[in-house]
Amino acid sequence: MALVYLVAHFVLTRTTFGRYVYAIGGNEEATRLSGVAIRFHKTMIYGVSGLMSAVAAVILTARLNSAQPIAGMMYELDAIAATVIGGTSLMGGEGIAWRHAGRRADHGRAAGTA
Amino acid sequence: MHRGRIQAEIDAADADRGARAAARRWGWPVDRRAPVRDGHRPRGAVRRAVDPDAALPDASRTCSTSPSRPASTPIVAVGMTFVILSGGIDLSVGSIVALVGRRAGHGAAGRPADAGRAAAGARGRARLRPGQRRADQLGRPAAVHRHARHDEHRARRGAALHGRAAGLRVRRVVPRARDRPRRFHPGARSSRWRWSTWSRTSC
Repeated sequence: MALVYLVAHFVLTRTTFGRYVYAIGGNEEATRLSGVAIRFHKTMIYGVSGLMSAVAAVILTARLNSAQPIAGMMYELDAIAATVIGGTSLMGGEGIAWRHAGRRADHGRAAGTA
Repeated sequence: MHRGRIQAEIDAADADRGARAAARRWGWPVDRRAPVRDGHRPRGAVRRAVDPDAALPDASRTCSTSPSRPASTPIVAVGMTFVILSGGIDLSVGSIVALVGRRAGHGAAGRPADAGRAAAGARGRARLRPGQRRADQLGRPAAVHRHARHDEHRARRGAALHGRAAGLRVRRVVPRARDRPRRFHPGARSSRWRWSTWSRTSC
């Protein structure tokens, strides 16, 4: 989990991809006019989200020792709530990955998944 | 009936002793590590040196638990951070968790998720149970099709004659080209469709 946070922090702060993520969230039209491939980067962003969901699913299955069709029910709300608690602005363009990681961990534990 | 903690510890010790005795008797490898006791933590300078929770209150184990027992919600939240930072929203997280969790369960069990379905799909037809016939086979004589042999393959057309006398062979309808068996089954005596067989058994 710490590795995931370190990689996310590195990508968001030290790479052009992370800078583009902030830029797209800040003003998508301005970023497009600046010459950034919006569609490609949005695809990559949602791909990262799906990859993280897959990693979480493997962990969840390992923790529960079972696979259930309702395993991910209401996980969107949990993930969005944890992200907002971590300080990320819902309007986009603000926030960092590792901020309040402990709160996110506590949130997962309170939800019974830890 | 509620049992006290002392009785629970006695039961656990008895169970551990019984396991060790059985291991000695049957020659199983014995776990010689000290049993992990709940509530056991190093104290003093040792604790300050090795325990990441030393600076926290005694009841807190956050820093020592989080790396070893990862939760799934924070990892989903990392991906959602990317999406929300870019001004979007991702509502497919739950479905991905469910689907990948199901696939991960198959992987943990050591068998592929869709082995039978993939094999049937490669042939372009639905998977049949042993003894089950397809809809286009219902009107045909089932004598040589019905009995599966003990080679874990379902009954199939032209596999074997099952000890029937030559004069009792039933007439078979010539299958269409796409219905002929294409696979070679090593357990069958005559597994591949042969025109000579058809020419001998037809009237």
